Amino acid sequence: MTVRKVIIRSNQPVYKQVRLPLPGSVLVRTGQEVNIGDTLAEAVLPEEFQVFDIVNQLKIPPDKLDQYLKRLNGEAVSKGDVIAQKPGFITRIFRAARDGRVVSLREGRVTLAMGERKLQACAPVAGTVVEIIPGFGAVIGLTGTLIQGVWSNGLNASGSFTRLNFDFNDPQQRGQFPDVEGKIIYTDALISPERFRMLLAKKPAGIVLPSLVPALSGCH
Amino acid sequence: MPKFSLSLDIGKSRTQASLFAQRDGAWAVESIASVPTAIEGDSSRFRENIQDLLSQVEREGNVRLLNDRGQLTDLCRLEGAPDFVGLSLSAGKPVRTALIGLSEDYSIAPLRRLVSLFNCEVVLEVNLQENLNATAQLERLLTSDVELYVIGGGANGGASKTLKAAIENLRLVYHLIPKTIRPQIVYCGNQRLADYAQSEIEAGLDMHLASNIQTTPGSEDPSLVWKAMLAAFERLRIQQIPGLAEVVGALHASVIPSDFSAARLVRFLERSSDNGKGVLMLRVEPDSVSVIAAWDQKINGVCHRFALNENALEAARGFSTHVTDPNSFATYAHNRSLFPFFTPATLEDLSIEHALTRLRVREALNALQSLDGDFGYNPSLGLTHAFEPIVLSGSEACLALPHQVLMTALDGILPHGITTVLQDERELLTAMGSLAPKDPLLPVQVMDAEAFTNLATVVTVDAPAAEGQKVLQIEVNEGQQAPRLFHKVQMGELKRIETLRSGKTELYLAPEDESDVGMGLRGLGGWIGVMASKVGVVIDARGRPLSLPADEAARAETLRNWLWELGG
Repeated sequence: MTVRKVIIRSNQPVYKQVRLPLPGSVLVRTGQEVNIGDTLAEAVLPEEFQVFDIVNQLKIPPDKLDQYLKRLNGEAVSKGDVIAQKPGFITRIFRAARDGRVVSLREGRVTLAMGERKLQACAPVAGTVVEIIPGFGAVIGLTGTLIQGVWSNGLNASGSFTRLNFDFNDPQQRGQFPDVEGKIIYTDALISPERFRMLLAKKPAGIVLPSLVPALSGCH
Repeated sequence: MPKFSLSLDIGKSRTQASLFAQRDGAWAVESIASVPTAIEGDSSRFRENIQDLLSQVEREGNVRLLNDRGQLTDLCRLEGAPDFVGLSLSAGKPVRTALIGLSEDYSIAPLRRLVSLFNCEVVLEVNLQENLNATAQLERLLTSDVELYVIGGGANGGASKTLKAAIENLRLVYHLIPKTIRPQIVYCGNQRLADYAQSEIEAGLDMHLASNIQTTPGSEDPSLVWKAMLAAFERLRIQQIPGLAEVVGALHASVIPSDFSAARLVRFLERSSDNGKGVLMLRVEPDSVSVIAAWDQKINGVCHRFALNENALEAARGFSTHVTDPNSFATYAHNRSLFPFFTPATLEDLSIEHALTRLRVREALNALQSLDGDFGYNPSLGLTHAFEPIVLSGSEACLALPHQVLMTALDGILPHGITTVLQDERELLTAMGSLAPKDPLLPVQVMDAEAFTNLATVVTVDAPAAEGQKVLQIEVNEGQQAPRLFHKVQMGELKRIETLRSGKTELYLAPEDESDVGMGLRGLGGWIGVMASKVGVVIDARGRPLSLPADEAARAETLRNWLWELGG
């Protein structure tokens, strides 16, 4: 069975919603022109957490915890700062491994959130911001050609859309494969895994095929 | 004026409304309508979809469901509206779930069984006995993108240190990472820590407390946690499906998972049965197979989603009634995985479809076996535990012809002994399950009268005989007027005996000395009475495991002959 439904429309308004998977800040405004790769929204998250059991690791009685703790919940810390210290013949110290913040101090356990990890939602196409999704991202509008496929690998690519003029079955064309680097190519030939690998080696930005043979399911 | 009740089942592909009416004290199906499910998009699309469905029901039954402008409104304010509404849901992605417990056997395994009825996909398991350090545990909790956390473990009043540490980590996860969908937390562990967990995590209405799932060491009672799980499920789905909150509010209904809804009825059937056997339900949908089994006063279920890979393709080809080249088979299977709801166009497509269904059923039963070792399923020997009836439901089961449905189910289940196979053609099982708590009489009266179609009675012969050797003789009594009929059954054979169109047909089973027909002992036979059914009585003497030729053409022919025996 083959799927015969392919929708192709030219000069169509195309709207692309771009959103963060979790709430953050939107960095664009309605009407703003954006280019491919521009950041539309971002969320800042701690890069890593560290949990330290002060009571058990430093052998501190729970009721005397306050005496040995050097930082409070919510306080910012820098790399090397002493978080807890137990003086004695051998002083035992717990220091922050990186810049960060004390996010929890309970039951004798201190948790540090360290580093910064930015989660960004970037524009996959150039266009105009037509709508803001508060806290999450935006909708980009543009005029273009819309080709509705039945399956994709979910990635974004840009490049000129070019039909591949190459007959895989013609031995005389061997060695005359056209330059497709950076282009989004379309071919109506049946693409076996070997042909697919050969296409990939030519570094196109994208490949549009009329059908996928099952053997391609293992190719990434 | 009759009394009405309405059930809405929002399925993966279709949303079905089933209207029941009570006249002269007896409940019956009034009308059934359905529309394609629409849960993607904004809330207005979902609402309009439900409005379309309800207007269909209004047209077919003498009931009010919408206001004068044809819009959804508070049902309590409508004259002639149903007295109560049930709402079940299987649409949407499975709920990404994390299980946190103190040990594999006493906490994690019971939690797995608990969540399997709630359309959950377990993406993280934290066994606190593994001594994962607190930082690593926190990291795992943070990176798994979990929607539902279920914490169990510990005897009431028992050790609490590791559980306290996990609760603290959960607090951090809940508060530190912003989420579009607020995760839900169900606590069903050591009761001494329940209040601590609630005050520590500070999750408000997203925290659901339940009794300890572990009632005594080594025994579990998941039903103690169902209420909390249902509340968590509803809160999640209301956040995930725009417009659902409005529908729930207007209909004054609670959202429950479809599998849970069906499980209520399966449990009821098992408890009301006096044959000492379990009850099994298979719901075969295009992209999943749900198995719900109740036996020995317990209920378990699983919703299995088929993963298409090389091994699965090879295994499925072994069940095809047509010789199909591997590439065509794979092409069809891949297309089907992209578009699960299309209909096969040719006989070859149909044979691939049925082959895939056989494999999907086997995999689903095996998944339930992994969940509960007492289920009694072995992929080659089949279902050794006795289940009667076996109820077949789902859109896939409704699309095929009766004998095809039976054949794929038989080859997938490989039952033992004597059982009755019923078909839930109108998909009423889930509908009745969502209404049962409101009026327990409704399912009882509807099931008695009209809910299921009797598909067949299956008698499986287990004998150590060689192929072609006689294993059973059957005498058929169709009443005083008809002559007695005698059938001889040989090993390796699948035989169909037609039943009377109405009334009871009596069969005397006379097995050979070494043959077991499910009467309790080898060689023991006796009379059985069977009611009229679509396919009839099927005698399955093919043996377990099924003996299929290695040659592809011969194997396809054997499978085709069996199918032909049941009806072509």
